[in-house]
Amino acid sequence: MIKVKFSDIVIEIDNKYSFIEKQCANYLVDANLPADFSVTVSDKDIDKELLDTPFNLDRGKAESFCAYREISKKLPKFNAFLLHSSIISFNNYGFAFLGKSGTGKSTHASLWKKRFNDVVFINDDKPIIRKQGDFFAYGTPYSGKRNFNTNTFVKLSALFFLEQSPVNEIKKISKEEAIFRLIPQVIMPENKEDIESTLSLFDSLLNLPCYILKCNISLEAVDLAYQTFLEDNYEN
Amino acid sequence: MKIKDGFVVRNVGEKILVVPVGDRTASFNGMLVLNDMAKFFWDNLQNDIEIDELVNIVCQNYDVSFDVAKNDILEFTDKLQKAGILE
Repeated sequence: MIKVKFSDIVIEIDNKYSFIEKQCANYLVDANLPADFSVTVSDKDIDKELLDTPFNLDRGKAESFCAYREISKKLPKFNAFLLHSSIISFNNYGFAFLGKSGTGKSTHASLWKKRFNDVVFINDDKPIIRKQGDFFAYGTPYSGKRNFNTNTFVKLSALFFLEQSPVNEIKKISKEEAIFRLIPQVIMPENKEDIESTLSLFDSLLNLPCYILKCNISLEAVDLAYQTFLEDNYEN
Repeated sequence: MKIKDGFVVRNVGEKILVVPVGDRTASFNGMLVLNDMAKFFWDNLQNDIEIDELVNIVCQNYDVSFDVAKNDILEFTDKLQKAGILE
């Protein structure tokens, strides 16, 4: 049994294998802390995960991924959800880069780190977004291929929906345009109440500045995004 | 005909989203977006109704001819049918 804290939520995980303890090493908390909820992964879930996954997993890794999925199902009750995105913290701003797999979210986030000092990867693949007044993005130990994550959080400042393009261009979009691009990047909950509350969170989240950023792999793309954000939001 | 149970309808900004309950593969494919007119059709299809009855209701509430309304409704119900939403 291990206890972890993700996005200020204490979770007890009833694990059979030791892999998850290693994966969550930076997020473990004292066993005496009261848990907000607990999850268990069944052998059946692990079997299914092994079948569904194209690359090689062992049972320990499969248990770990299943645990994250089980955790994600409880998030709506905490005004939270998983967002498929790469999120960085820079200068106290939280920037989320979204798009289908392969679009270049991680690549783009890495360019920010190259361009500026003090850029922190919150989570490079599936951070938890939680509304606590404002929206905060939290690091978790589940962060994709490169596993860049930090056990910290940042207040979200803007969402950038990325598209590959030879030329860098940016366009601010409305909430109505953004919702189409947001929903594919979230696993919707399964029951009516949770769906309603998650859609409500989206409605609120998309009040943040949203952009379509067409970009190539260059530092200019980073400058374009950052300058545009600053001009839009801090003009007097 | 009527719309099956098991959908959540909610505004996000000015768009009206329809999301199926319980179908996890539908986080992308199953989402519908309705405009005001479609929402009107949607609301009236919550209980079993004949097409012509619905056309009449639309004509009572909107300045549109019977034929145009019927055409629009059939287009809409066709989409719903294809998405497996009508019963």
